[in-house]
Amino acid sequence: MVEKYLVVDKLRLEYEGLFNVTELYKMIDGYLRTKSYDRSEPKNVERVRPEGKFIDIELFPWRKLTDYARSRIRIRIVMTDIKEVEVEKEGRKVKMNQGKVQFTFDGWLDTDYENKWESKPILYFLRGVVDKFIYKSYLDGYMDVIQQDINHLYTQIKAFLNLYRYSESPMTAPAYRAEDRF
Amino acid sequence: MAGDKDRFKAATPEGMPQIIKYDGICDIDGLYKLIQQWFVDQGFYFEEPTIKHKVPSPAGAEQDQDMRGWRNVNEYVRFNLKVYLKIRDLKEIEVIKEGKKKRLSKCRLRIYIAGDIELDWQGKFDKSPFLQQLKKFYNKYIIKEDEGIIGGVWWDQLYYRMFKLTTIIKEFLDMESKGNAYYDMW
Repeated sequence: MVEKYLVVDKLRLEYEGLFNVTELYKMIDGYLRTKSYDRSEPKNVERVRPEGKFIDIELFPWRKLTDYARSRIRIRIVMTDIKEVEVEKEGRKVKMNQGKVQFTFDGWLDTDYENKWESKPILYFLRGVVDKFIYKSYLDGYMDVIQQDINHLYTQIKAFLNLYRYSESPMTAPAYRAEDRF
Repeated sequence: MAGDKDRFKAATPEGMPQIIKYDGICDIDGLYKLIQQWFVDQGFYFEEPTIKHKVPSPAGAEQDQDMRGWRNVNEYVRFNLKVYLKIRDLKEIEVIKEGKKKRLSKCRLRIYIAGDIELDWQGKFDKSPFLQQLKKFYNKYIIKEDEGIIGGVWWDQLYYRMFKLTTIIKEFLDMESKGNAYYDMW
């Protein structure tokens, strides 16, 4: 079995107001592509209701960090009461959406995702020892990468929704000491 | 024909089927044609093993459609692709679109898209126990199923083609989550 370390647990973001659903989806998709994540979209639900559309999307992108470690992110996007509205922007009429959107982010670090260290009990034991005492600083570094990826995406979405101005430096995990890094 | 054991599916989140659920008004006939045409355009041999249609309640008809396509990549590798359409509460309605009357369907739609890679589809290595062992060795050490040409190249190709189909369906249904940043992959 793959060893899973939970790095980001249910980071949430909620917004209610005007935004463009398709552009938001494209932005997230494009971000994952630029970060070299492989795409996975196990769920995509859209229901047309009189009070507005209900949309439920689950993205499960993943990226191989090394032959031993893999990063996985789960992004759940639930949108309710999505209506199409026309707004005037810089003198032009633009079609946009109005409604509620909720994001939930989870991030995992998977180690030994190819199950190479599980063929014998001695290998499994050795993997535990190596993970805990020798490879620990590397694993902490990978966790930091996953956290940065998620926080950067979180910041991008906030900027897209105009929740606050985009800042170039993404949020990171609580600072590690220099010796804990690579 | 090769058995189930020779079918490869990546042991990653990619191995999961892609599911689209849509509830609203759509053009079912157009959707069938779109999926079928996509299979043909991509060089897949297209077949529909089962079609079920019944009207169990006044809520509307039920329809299940199994679409399958296969394509031989080379003499050893074959792509298999399945699209399963599940339609519930299907009712035909007439709408006026751009001044013209059009017959569309109101329904709940579930689309499952899954694929796998069939190795030794001609069964050439099944003729003797020695050849079977040779096939195992070839799959494990020469072409390396998980990280080699099968997992890394062929599976990747099949997977992103599946994604393109998903994107085309979403665009056809005019879903909000359309668009594909990975459009240039394969």
